[in-house]
Amino acid sequence: MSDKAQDLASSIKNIKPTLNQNIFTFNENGSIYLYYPHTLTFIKLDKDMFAILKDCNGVNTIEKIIANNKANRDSYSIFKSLFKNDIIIDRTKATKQKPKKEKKIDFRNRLAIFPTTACNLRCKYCYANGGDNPQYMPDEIYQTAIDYFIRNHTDNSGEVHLSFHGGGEPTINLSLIKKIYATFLRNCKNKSLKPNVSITSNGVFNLGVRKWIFDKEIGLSISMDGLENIQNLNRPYRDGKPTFTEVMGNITYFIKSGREMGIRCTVTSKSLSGMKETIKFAKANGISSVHLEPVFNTVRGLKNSITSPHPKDFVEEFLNCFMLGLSHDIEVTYSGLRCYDVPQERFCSAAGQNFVVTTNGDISCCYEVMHPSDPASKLFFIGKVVNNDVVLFEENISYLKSRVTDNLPQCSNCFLKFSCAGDCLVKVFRNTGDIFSVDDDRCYMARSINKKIIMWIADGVIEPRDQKYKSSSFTC
Amino acid sequence: MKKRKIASPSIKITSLKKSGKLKGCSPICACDTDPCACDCHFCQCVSKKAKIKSKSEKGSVIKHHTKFRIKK
Repeated sequence: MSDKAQDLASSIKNIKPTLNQNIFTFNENGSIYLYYPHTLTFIKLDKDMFAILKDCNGVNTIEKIIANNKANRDSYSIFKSLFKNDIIIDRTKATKQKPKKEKKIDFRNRLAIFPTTACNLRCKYCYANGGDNPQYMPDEIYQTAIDYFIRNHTDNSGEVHLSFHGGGEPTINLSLIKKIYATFLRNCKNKSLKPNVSITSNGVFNLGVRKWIFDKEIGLSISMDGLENIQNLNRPYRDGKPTFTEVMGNITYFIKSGREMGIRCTVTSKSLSGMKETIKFAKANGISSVHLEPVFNTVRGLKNSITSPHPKDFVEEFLNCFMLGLSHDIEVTYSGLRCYDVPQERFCSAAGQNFVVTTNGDISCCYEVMHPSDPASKLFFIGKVVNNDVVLFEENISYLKSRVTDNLPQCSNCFLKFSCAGDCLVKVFRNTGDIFSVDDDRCYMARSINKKIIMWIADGVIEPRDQKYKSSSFTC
Repeated sequence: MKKRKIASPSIKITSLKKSGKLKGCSPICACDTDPCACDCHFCQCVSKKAKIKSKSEKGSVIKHHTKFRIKK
């Protein structure tokens, strides 16, 4: 042993390490993998190393563990790295964490407004029945909602977001969204907050809308299904005419103007086979990211015989697309791919932290719940704009906020418990009637996709592009 | 008597956290809040898709869109 190695050995040999209880382990194809979401650490190890880790029980010293396993004395360097990544911990140094105080109201810094239920398209799987009952948000609703939100949001970053979203196509009434935008900016200015505005659109809008989005630097997210035949089949105008040319015209305009543009594609059983072609299509057209999302059952979708892809098929195709995306420098993602994101205890802000104002003034916690006739509204509606004021439904907020990983019994041993955190609340609710339950198909997809990607990272099949992320190998 | 083989433990560790803070809900999400405030599958893309290149980015170094690459 070198002097340096001897110094290391003497400094840590008497520590009694404990294996971190939040480490997840799985065996696959004869290899052992460890995944620690809190430090986003991906580990592949052999049986000797696994035996050593099993001895990290808080009783044995490192010196004894090395001796018991007849390991090479250079193994001390491994222990140093394991400590660094919190894989093992020294309980004598553990500090007590103060419990978080839950705020009664916890709307973060994102306000969403559904300005209209009118829509120029009639997408075959639309969950909102967009355009079937066209209505526009009255002035007093957005004025009251914005005023309330700016006064009560709990984020202290100094920045607030306004997102124009669903129920219909937000850009269909430019004068309305201009008024909402101006109201938002005025309120932000009064509170010295930095505004950030974005629109989720179907991409079919005129030059006036395009110019406004560009001039005001409004963020833009476009839902389109990629290939021309799929887009025209699933996302036509209300009279059935094709929309591909208009959408691509707008996407191309923004890309040429210097924006990074991504698309969100809904995948059906029929369009599944076109997923890989969609990635190539994105590459050819300068699109930087493709979000692939399996369609879920909707009233309109069922009428149009739209079916979701088989979970196993989606997993296989998604993983192929993910790798194809890496080779083409296209980010390929889906809502359940989270193994390399920051750990979280909630799947999304629908767990009591969203503030989504629907066209008629209901306040929803979920972007997919917007009609009072929807049974899910009993749970996901958290307030209402009434008489120039906002009334909150505190019971619903508390219930939704309690939907965190620790309260999900079926997720208690899952390696994705701090990543997926129980998956989409409303889909679980629609399928099981209980937000604390699990949607089996989506669970299967999330577990399969994330497990494979964890293995790819741990194996070194894929590597972080940024050199600042570290990868280290030890063989003693 | 057979001599027990001395163990040669082998481990490969890849950490994405220690040397750099991850931002947002997605590898290229532009959202600065941590944890991300826009993390449902509809809104998680809003920020990243909307990311507008700064003047210094335009026409300068090639900026990659993916967090990972296939190891050569």
